[in-house]
Amino acid sequence: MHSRNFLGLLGKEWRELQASRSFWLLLLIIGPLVGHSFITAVGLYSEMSGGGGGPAALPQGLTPLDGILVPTFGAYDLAATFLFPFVAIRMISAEKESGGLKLLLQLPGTLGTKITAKGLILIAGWTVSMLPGLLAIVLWKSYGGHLYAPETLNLLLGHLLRVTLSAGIAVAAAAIAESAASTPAPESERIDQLAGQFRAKAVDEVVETEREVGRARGVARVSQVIDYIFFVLYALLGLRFLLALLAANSSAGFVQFIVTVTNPFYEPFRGIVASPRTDGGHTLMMPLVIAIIVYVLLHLGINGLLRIIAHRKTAV
Amino acid sequence: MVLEDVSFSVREGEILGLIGPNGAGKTTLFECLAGLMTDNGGTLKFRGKELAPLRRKDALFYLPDSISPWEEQSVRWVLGFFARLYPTNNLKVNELLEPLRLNSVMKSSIKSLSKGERKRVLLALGLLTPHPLLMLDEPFDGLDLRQTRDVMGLLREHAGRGKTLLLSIHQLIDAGRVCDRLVLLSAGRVVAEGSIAELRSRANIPEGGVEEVFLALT
Repeated sequence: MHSRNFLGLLGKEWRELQASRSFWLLLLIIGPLVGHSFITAVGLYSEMSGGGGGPAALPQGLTPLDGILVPTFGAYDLAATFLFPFVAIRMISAEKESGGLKLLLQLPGTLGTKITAKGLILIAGWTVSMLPGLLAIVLWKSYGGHLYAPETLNLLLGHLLRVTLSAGIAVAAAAIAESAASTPAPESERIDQLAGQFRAKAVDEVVETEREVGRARGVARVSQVIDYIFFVLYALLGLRFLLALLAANSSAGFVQFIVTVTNPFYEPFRGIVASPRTDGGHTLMMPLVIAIIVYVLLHLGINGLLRIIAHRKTAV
Repeated sequence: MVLEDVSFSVREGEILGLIGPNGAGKTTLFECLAGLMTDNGGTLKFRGKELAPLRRKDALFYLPDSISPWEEQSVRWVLGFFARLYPTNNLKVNELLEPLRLNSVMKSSIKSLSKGERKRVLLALGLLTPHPLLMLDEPFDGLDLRQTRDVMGLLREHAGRGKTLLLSIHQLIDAGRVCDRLVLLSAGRVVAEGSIAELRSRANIPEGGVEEVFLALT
């Protein structure tokens, strides 16, 4: 295959990535997550290192790798597990659903070059999403923090390896599946049903049919994004509940990350009711249960509001 | 759809119509020929040499029906993408804009196009490929009368330049107007093959159009 053709394929994949809502959602979420994790990690590290003249709690045992990098880049664990696979799936499923894949397979180049082009662009997309993390490293250095380059590089490559694996599994699943949708089937059916109802009504009343349907689909899309954000929140709060129940080691990087990320959502409920605790440290975090219930109600409320908006938009 | 004993030939620069009722196996046949669907047997010979499924994309290009490829991208970009991939085809994008009436939609995204506009963009993609054989699935579906006539003229012009066209058409009247020869497919089998006159003769119908011939032979 000519290098010009390969560059053409790369260009196409890059444009497709830019058109992917999952990719923009990843970028939208990863920035605040990394930022919040970094700020909390720096605060904790400073406290533990005796910053500001106070006593050093763990001056010998906590390195910048454990204290700063792991919690900060912990956000990428979440991204690699919950967000990036959707970006990877869209790279295949969008073309399968639109029929573009039938054209792509006939274009110059082997199947291998087409998969390589998709893989390289996915890695490029992941690299873009790493920018907040890299910025955190730069900030840490500008604060006068120490970093050991080989272990930092090792951490970054570890994340890359992990995301490559999860994206690979996602792409393979999307390629094998008849219809690899980015949302669960019942949700898609509900959206299609809703859009179908809007379509029928608009056709019957002959009022700017396609525009109305497009608007309904737009609201349905927003609903999908909100669903996704809430499901991630439930998963994180659920994980924190489970970790507390299992009395997980609070100094472990992953536990720190989960606690850091969920703190803003947990804060309003902290201490609302007592949390029974055993001698072994196993804690039943009842405030978390209440938090999840409240977020479920909020989730339902937002979706209800969206449905009202969608109906109002299509009414004549 | 199961295809059995399907055998026919197409000559260089010819427009061959594959006609048959819904479910006759036209699309399945196209996908098998293009190597997009695995077949259990059968061969495709091009200029006397057998073409393996993986090599078929060097000789033929298949344009499926009802697809909306890369729908977030603009028409201009999609056409440019094909033109850049196939620089060996002397045809330029600009030469297709007027006959296919695409000037007004060049900045639009594929997803915002109407069915007819999308069909015309797809036809432009097909014509931008340099392959000697182009297979078009339902090329007139979604086009109005005037557009159908214009597209038929364009296809005829390209066939005149040596491009071989294999069209799958369910509108028998359209098939009769544009095709040099027809292959009648029914329930996965070839029922008849030939020009309208030959098919009439075979069906023992001295007068009548493709519809009458088709009904008589199937």
